Parts: sequence; C-alpha cells; structure tokens
Amino acid sequence: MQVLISATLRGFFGKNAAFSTDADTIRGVLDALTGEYPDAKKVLFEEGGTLRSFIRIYAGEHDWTATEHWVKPLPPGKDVLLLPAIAGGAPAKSIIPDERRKAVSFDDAEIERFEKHFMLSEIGVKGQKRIKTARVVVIGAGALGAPVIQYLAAAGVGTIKVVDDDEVSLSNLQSQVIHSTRDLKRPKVASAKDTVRNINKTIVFEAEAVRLDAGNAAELIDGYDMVIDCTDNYKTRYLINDACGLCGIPLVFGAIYQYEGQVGVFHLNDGPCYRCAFPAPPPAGLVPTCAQGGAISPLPGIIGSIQANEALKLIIGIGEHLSGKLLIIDSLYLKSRIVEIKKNPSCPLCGTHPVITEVEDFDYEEFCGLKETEEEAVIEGFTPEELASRIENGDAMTIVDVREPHERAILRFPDAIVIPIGQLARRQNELDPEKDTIFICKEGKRSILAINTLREAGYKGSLYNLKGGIDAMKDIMFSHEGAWL
Amino acid sequence: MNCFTCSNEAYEEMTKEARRAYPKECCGILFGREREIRYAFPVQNVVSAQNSRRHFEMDPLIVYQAECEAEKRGMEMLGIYHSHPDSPPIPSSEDLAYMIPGISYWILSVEQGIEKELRGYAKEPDPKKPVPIRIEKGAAASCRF
Repeated sequence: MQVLISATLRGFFGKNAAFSTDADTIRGVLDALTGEYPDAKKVLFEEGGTLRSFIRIYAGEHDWTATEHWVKPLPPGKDVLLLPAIAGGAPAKSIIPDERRKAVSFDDAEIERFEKHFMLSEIGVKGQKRIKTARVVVIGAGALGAPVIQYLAAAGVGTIKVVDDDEVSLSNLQSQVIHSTRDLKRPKVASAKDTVRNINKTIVFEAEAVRLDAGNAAELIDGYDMVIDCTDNYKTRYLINDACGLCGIPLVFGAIYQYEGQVGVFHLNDGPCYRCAFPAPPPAGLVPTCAQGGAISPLPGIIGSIQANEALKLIIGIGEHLSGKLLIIDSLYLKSRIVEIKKNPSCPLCGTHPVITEVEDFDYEEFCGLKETEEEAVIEGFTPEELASRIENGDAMTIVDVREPHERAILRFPDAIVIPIGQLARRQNELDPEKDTIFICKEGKRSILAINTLREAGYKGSLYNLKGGIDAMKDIMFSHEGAWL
Repeated sequence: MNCFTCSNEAYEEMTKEARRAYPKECCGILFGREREIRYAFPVQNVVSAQNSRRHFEMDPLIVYQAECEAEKRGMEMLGIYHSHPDSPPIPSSEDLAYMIPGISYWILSVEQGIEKELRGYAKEPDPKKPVPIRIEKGAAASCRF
C-alpha cells in the first residue's frame, strides 16, 4: 500500500511524497515509517508517545487519526494519507470593552497600591484599568465567596455585588475566612462588606441579602460583566447557569466536596455551559444531599483563589483560561487534572435548539430523583416515636445506617449496622428477610433511596424508613440510656 | 534570515478575505517558490459558527488537494495565513501548538473590519519572533518586521 505524505511534512521523510509498505494497520504504517526515518519519530510523536496535535492520518477520505483506529485492518485499495492539521486561534481577549478602560484613571494612592500589577507586563496600566472598571457579581459569601470576594477587592475590582441571604454561624468560621467571631448572627453580606471596606474603601460594594431564585436571578446579574458561582448546592448552580446563558454573561464556576474541588468557565464567547458539562445532577444516592459532605478548611481557599484568578485573567484578557475545560483538584493526594468540556448541540440552554428561554424554577428533588413520587410513596415508615417504642420493646429488627462516615462520627446510632447505599445491592444477603429492616439517614431522604435501591435489586423482605431521619429523633429520650443522643 | 517577499496579489487576496470574514477568522494557504509568496489560496474555516470568531481549522484533504494542484504548476506551499479579528498579530498558544517546522505562519490583524498588520512566524528557531517580510506594492517597498 501507498502512504502519501503532504508536502508540509515531507522534510521529515527524506523529501519523499510517497512511501510503500505492506503494513495493514495505521500502527503498522507508523512503525514502518519511523523505522525507515528514525528522525521522524520526534516530529510525529510527543515525548509521552502521543501523536502531535498537527498530524492527521487519513485512510482514503476518512480520518483515522484517533488511536482507536490504529489496530483496525485498513480498507483495501485505499491510500493512507499523512496530512497536517492546520488550525489555530486568536489570543484571549478581555471581556471589558476598550471604551470603558479608556475612561478610567488612577490617583497616586492607587498607583502605589497596585504597583505589583503594574510590574507585570501582561497587566500593566491597561490591565489595571480594566480591573477597576469591572463589575462582578459573586453569588454566595460562604466558603468559596470568602477568598473570591477578598481577592477581587484586593486586586481592585471596581464594583462587587454579593448575593447571600444567610447569617454567619459558628460552623461557618472553619472555612469562611471573610467573617470573624464578632460577625456571628450578622448577615453574611454585611460582614463581607465590612471586610471589603477594610481592604479598599473606594470599592463599590453592593450587598444583596436575598436568596437567588428563578424570579430574581436574571435581574440580579443583568448588566454586570461576570458572575462567580460560589454557592454550595446544585439547584442554585443550574439557576445561575441558566441566568448567565440568557443574559450572555460569562460564569466562573467553583465547587468543593470534602477534599476535592472543581473550577470551570462557562458561557464565554458561546463556549459550553454548566448544562453541557452536567446535563443532570449526580445520580440519586451518589452524593449526600447538598451541603452535608463537609470540606477540609483550606480547600475553599484553594478553589476560590483559582476562581478569582480566572476572573482577573478574563477581565484583563491574558493567558489561558478554563472555558471549555474543567479543572479538578484532589487536595488529599495532591493530584489535579483538566478535562475537556464540549459544547453539547442538544443542550436545552445553549444548544442548536434551545428550549430554556427564561430562568425557570424546577423541582430539584424531582430533577435528581430524590422526591417521593406517587409510586415510591408506598414506602412504609416509622415516626421517631414509633421506632423509639419498638427499640424500647426490644422488637426483633435490623437497623441499617446509610449515612457517611463523618456523619456517623458526630452521632452514632446504637445497634445499627452500616451499609453504604452503593453496596446495598450486593450486600443484601447480610439482611434477614424474616425480620423488619429499618433504614436511617440524617433527614430521611437517602434512606428512601436505599429502600428503592434494594427493591430494585429484588430484595423481598419488609423495609421501613425512619421518617425525618435522625434529625427528627434527636429529642426522643430512652428510659434505659437517658439522653443518648 | 532572508526576507520573505509577498506579492501584492497575494496580500490583496488575504486582506479581502479577512475583511469579508470579519468578525470571524479567515484562513488560507500561501504558495510560491523559496521565500517568494506569489498566491494566497483561501480555505474554508471548518470551525463551527459559534467558535469561528477565535478559532480556525482547515480540512486536511482540501489542504492536500491544494498543495498537489500547486505542485503541478511548479509551486510549493510556503505558509499558512489566518486573521486575528480585533486582536494583535501575535501567535496564540493554540497557534504555537499547531506550528509545523518548516512552514511559515502569517497572521493578519483586522480591527473593526480593516486590516492592520501582517506578521509572519516560523517554529524554528523562535516561534514567537516575527520573520521579516517585504510586501511588493509596486516598486517602493522595504524589508520590515
């Protein structure tokens, strides 16, 4: 068979336009070529052995560049073509228009304050002017919001709007370094405003002590340059994503869970969106509901700082950014990777035939399968009082705790066996079908998933749910143990 | 390094395409002999419409057909050109990643739909350093960066 080599690549193959070989796979052809022209190996392959991005391999009219084709038998009678991929793109561009940059000036104090930015040739006076004129909305003044708001303020972002309806509580202080002990029970936006004023009082801080919902999302962000998602729940993430898509505002997304975090940039220059990356929330039962996962203290500092860094690069218009990519960082084993996010042509928000035309409320629990549907309503359950009296009576039963280890560490349920939801199906023989089995979790929702999982797996014994979970049982007193909870 | 020359005809073809494609990127191939660029051959940008403001890609089979055709006429493929709408003629990280040794890369900046500056680059020895070019506009022209 003949291998035809593009003129652009012939220099590496002794200036030959064609090469004959009896290899019958792409892998065989490449081996024959590099065997004949050893120097070409460096040109064809990266150091790690992957094909260089500018090489394309065709068999007849079809692209066989992907390695999955390399071991397939080549179509008979077709030439193999070694071609260049000719591609490129314009460099990153600021999201702030030049007219707004030109309208900004600095006083002496600002020149001193931002001298370290002026020293960087990529930022300089022009970049700092863009930062000063930028208007950014941060949703959430919690763990991720803490570093994001403080670094945006320190960097000199001119207008920062913060949306959060929550108050500072003691458990927030483990990670939310924008608040301090004296801020307990204060609105988070008020505490954040004080911190920002202490950093730089010329920054316009817009406090919105409201909860972002479908009705106010678009109004809260419209007219701003960028939105930074620092929330902790899936429902708000979808609402923010939809609002940003409909208003045409780039979104810097961040999320943390236990030791792992993610950062991405969505809706930038028609790039992919959060729905392209995550068409639906994680399958029911995979993740404990919302904010119950916990996180190591500095993790939001790491992830939020990367979000702030992405935001500044987009404002200045420098470097590479995470549009079309998702950065995943594992702080426990210090591993990180970037996965590619492709635009989904059938995305309901930004695809070729969008169906989402306004920010709509949706039932999150239904969306991710947590809700008790009519079919599932046949699950029988005990109230905390009923379960307590059965325990008091010493009734024969099996109690299965499906909570996460950290939740059990806070509050152990006596005489319960522990089986994670993911292992229920294969460990069902540990349950006695002759006895009643009662499932418990924190709020009585994951226990419903557990029961559904077991039923789907074909378990025939009687299954009960603890209604309202352990939270609802906290006030029950047991005669023999006193207040064991 | 010897100066590249670009015929007025090739330059006009590039700028015409860049203006027509604005605000999207245009791309094409430059043919000639040795360091003399004679013809610009526009190639369709196959990047999807929503990404074509900041990216370009050519169909490799079209490139191969064009170079075979040029060879028959005694020409060789000297370089690739593309436009940078509203941004300077400096290679992006993506441009650098796709540079093939031995081929010159030409970037035409277009601001508000009007061509501004053409700069050429080559992977070796320094992919970020412009190579000199002379555009043959009539007789008066000098070698410039």
